[in-house]
Amino acid sequence: MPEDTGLRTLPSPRRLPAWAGKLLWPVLALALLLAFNAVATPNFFNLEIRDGHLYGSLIDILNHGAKVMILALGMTLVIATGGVDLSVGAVMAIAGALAAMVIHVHAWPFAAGLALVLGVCLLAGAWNGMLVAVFRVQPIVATLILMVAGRGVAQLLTDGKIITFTDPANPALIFLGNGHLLGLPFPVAIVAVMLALTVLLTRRTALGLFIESVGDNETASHFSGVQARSVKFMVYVFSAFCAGVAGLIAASNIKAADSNNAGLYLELDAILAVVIGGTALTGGRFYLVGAVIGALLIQTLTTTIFMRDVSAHIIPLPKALVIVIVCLLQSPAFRRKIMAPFVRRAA
Amino acid sequence: MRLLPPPKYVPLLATALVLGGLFVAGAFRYENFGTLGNVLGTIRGQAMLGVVAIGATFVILSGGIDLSVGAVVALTGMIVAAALPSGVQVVVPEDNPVRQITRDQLRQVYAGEITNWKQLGGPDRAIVPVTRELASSAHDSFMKHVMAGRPLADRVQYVNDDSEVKARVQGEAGAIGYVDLYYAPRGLGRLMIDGEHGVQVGLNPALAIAMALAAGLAIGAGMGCLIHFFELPAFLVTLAGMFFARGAGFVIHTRSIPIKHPFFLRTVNEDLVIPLGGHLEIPLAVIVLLALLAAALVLAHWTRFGRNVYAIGGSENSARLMGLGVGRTKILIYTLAGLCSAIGGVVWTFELQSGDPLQAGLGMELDAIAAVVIGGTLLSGGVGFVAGTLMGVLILGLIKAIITFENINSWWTKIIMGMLLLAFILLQNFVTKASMRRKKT
Amino acid sequence: MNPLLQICGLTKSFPGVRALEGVDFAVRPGEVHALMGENGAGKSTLIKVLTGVYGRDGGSIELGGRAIAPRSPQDAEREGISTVYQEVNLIPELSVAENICLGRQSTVGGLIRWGAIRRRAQQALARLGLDIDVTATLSSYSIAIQQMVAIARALDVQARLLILDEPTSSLDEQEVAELFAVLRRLRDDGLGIVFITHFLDQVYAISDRITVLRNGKLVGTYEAAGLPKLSLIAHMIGKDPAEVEAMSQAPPPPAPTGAEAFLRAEQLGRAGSIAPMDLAIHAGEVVGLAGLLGSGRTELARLLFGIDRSDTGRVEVEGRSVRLGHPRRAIALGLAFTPEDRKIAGIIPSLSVRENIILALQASRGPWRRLAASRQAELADRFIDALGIKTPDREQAVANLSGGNQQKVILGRWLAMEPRLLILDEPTRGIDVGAKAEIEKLMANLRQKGMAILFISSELEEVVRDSQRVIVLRDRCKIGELTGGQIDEHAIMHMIAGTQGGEHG
Repeated sequence: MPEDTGLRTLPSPRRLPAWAGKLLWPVLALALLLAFNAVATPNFFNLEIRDGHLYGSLIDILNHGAKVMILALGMTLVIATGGVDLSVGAVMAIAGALAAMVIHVHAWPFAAGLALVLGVCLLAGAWNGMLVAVFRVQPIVATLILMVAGRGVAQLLTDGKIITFTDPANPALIFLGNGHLLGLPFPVAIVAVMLALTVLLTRRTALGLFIESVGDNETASHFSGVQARSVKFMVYVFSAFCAGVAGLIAASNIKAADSNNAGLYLELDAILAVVIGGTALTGGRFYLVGAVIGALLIQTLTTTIFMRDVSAHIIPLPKALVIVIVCLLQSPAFRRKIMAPFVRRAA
Repeated sequence: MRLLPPPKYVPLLATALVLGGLFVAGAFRYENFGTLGNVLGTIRGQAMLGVVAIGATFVILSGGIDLSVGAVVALTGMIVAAALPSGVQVVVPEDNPVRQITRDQLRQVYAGEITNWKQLGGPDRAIVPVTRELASSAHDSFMKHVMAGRPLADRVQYVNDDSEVKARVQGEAGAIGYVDLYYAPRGLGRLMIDGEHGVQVGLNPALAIAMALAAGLAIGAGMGCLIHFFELPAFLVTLAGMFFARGAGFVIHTRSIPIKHPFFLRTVNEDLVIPLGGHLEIPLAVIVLLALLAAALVLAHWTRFGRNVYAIGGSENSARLMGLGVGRTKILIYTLAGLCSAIGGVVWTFELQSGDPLQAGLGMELDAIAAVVIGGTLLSGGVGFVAGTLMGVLILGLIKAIITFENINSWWTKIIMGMLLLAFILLQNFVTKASMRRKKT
Repeated sequence: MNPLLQICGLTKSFPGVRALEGVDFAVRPGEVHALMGENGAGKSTLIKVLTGVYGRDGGSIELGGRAIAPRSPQDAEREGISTVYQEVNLIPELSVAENICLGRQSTVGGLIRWGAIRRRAQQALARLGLDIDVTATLSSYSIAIQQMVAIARALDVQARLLILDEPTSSLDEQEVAELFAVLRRLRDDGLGIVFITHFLDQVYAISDRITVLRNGKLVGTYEAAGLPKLSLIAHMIGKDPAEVEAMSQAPPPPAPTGAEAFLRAEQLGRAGSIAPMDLAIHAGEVVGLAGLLGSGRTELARLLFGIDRSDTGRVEVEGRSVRLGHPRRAIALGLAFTPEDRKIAGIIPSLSVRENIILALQASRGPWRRLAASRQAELADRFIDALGIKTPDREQAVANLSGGNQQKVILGRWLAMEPRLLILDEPTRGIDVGAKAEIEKLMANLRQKGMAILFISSELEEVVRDSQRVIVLRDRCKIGELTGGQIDEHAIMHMIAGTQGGEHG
């Protein structure tokens, strides 16, 4: 390593890389929650193998958390550019509705149907991307349009009905959300592949650098020759792609396309996961693994509450607390005003 | 020569044109569309959204956003419904001479310790206690407030609703039963319990409504404080507020609570309306909306607070340097929005006679934002009109009405709303750019 | 005469910086007092403490003989201290009347009396000799009028001390003259005026006394009439007046080689931005752009770099006609641009030194051909060494570096591209003297290696010292060009001032 060859006067302390520091809090919170369950929830860590598949609460968390984890991947990149994508829930509904219509009702081959669904999702993303990058509409507003209209489009596709596809004529579509691979639920495998692909796509190319630089300072990036518009356009397309995949899993999970409820409020969970994962809403540095851990944390919290026989409806309440705590911990003003005395004493 | 009004009025003008156009088109196309009755009905249908959107207007004018409004509507509706008196009245056959009983005696009757009317000063007749089914709210209330933890005796008979109670009691000379506090016990004798008409717990309507409004204020103020003191993004804080209020609504009760209090059933619908002759009247919800609108207009245009809201939305930094009390104003803005949402929750209880933790205010945050934007308020803040918001709300109402008249599917509402949003946002964009260009030259 | 404002021993520190150290400062009633100093001298900190934006660590402030401790701008206003900032800090979409009265509207029962507000605004503007429609939105007026409105607002409270923080930077000459007329009128009313500007001529045109700060310390307070301009400059940059005299008379750098120009522009212009002008820059030549802020310097740079599109003229690079219109195209042609406002348009604050340095190079390669990690590290280390960037390591976030080091990081970003023409817009603004000298030395080195440099600076002395050719701009027009021996500060100043005298020396 050509390190410390220069005449820099300051010492170069061995520090953890930035991403490790950012992961500390979510991982710690997740560990605490798991530890609480280890003590308080009987059988929480039990795993059993039936028909060669693993079952247990931990597997459930991975399985049920898959949708938000996938959404969070796309959302991370969008938020890193300083934007936000409110339309992912509606895009999920469109994906589910379209899949049910073409693959189940019109009996297209699975591959063709999949291609059409994902293609339409890319178009939806391009729509968002165009509004944000070309027409320079604020991201909240731009994606609000699709959030409102998208669900209407999904209902239009299914004629407002819930379309169920329980019959075994669509094994591939049902496998997406219910199958198993290597003993694990198939959605978990999809998450793993998507995460790996996203990390490769952003960190093995310069896309990650461009996304962070655009989110951190768009003007300076533009002046440095970064194609800020293209970068922004691309992240919305990618986010809609993730939403499409999550929408297919959601429909497959319940073996039905429910345009009214598919993905409802999941955009908010995804945003929450991204913020827990350490990516600031103002853009800049992003942490994909952190976002996935954030999604896991949300799902673990949900599962914990379920297993404690508390009404599932109460789940928003602890979520609200998590949002506030995470925001406060990340807020410089909070650290300055509240934490400072403690930090100083510790130092 | 100036043909166009100043740029900032262009969106408002467009809103007025759309509203007028929709109305005229509807009135020409459909019979009864243009009638006063339909107009009033449309306004009434949008009253709740209107009330909430007025609060959202101030938030958006200041450059903020409030995602909590729908959930606060649900929570405050639940608070009203849950705080109103609930309980049971105790009934016997009309010919039973006993008309007084104490709560202790009642408990002993149902616990199987008092078994004959003679012990209560009546005829020598065996007491046949009847109870509502398990898990009914009347049963829960009775167990809680009368039995105080003691179990019912084995011989107590279970029936499934109030009318079955009535039938059973009427058909059994020694029977005693209880029905919901608001059940009309015609053809039955009612026992006074400790000198009251029933066993009931709760607040009078005014107090219940005050409690709901206070809750809305408190949530709004809390969010405002988080946003101001810790410089958190409004988007996230109000998202947390939305989760908090939804969750809290479910903590009160996991299902919808019906409201049977005569104030909400009768007074609100019959006494607190402005009759217009014929069948027509201005309902309370519309009166509330119009009163709030008038107050909001004054607040926005004739008070320092209102002008500070515009200033903060125009340039928060300048407002701070001008010493406009940015922090205090911001907290007040979110408090006001919380109050408006709470009023929306109260209007919900007027209109639907229930509190509903799930359905109330569902998606209203977005409808409110859409109404504000369509009403000509710039989402980046600083420019906009409270009156425009009312027009935006009415446009959404007219679209719904047209879709009903056309008899097409309701999801077209969402798609058309999305398209309208798009059109107005692009118009705003265009106007902003045009005025910037004008400034340069 | 008893001073209106008396500041004694004012001290203020920020983490790692001593912004003010025991500064004394006094303003008399009925005087215009210029507060001078280079960027980082402590002027703005002093103003912010005075107006209650910052608290102070030590020292005393007395206004009219009474100790005050303002805790907010509003607090300061109540004490009689009003401020007008450089960028007009008003609300553009509200009316003029409202902007003047915002926050102190007269009310009846809590309701604003709009009629009273209009009358009050008219009166406040009349005091400045201005008669405009006060119900029109502020943004419909020119910046100069907006500035006057800001002053009217500042005076609308019973102001005893008026602080003007670079009020003239966006005004043209005529507007400056009008502003000064207003200031004189206010001074004669007995108001104390603190005036901050970078324009030396204006200081002498309006001020009675001058206080100079340097590195957070007081250098001295002088009667304007008794302080030669050279001495003032010397005090500001912390040098001996004699040395400065020598500097401005340093032998001019060698004349440019007469080869084919690297970049040649004919009648290049953009409506509302800069009038059509000719320009040629040769390899191995530093061309200085002189002119006041707002004279079209930055606008010209933006045109050349393709940030704004020209609507007249043509540009040739190495004899071939090119179309500019996007920074990427300019970069591909071998152009590089360090913008005036480092924070807004230069650094990517939360990214590392390494990432900031490789950004432009990577952008030119596109997203798919990523520079290998080892190459990135090597590039970063090379420029950290070559430019003497003081940072703990290359992974440090740029936001944590000092202004001068940030500037060097941006230079490193462009040098990594090995550009043919480097456009430097105020590269020395807001950085310490040491770093300034290093950047000037670097320019000389790059020039000798054959790079063409377009150098923009408000510091005339730098332009004179470093350029082989100077293009002088005024009011968005090119008004002249000086080469070699013609280049000196007086000549340029005369050209900018519009008084002929460029041919002396």
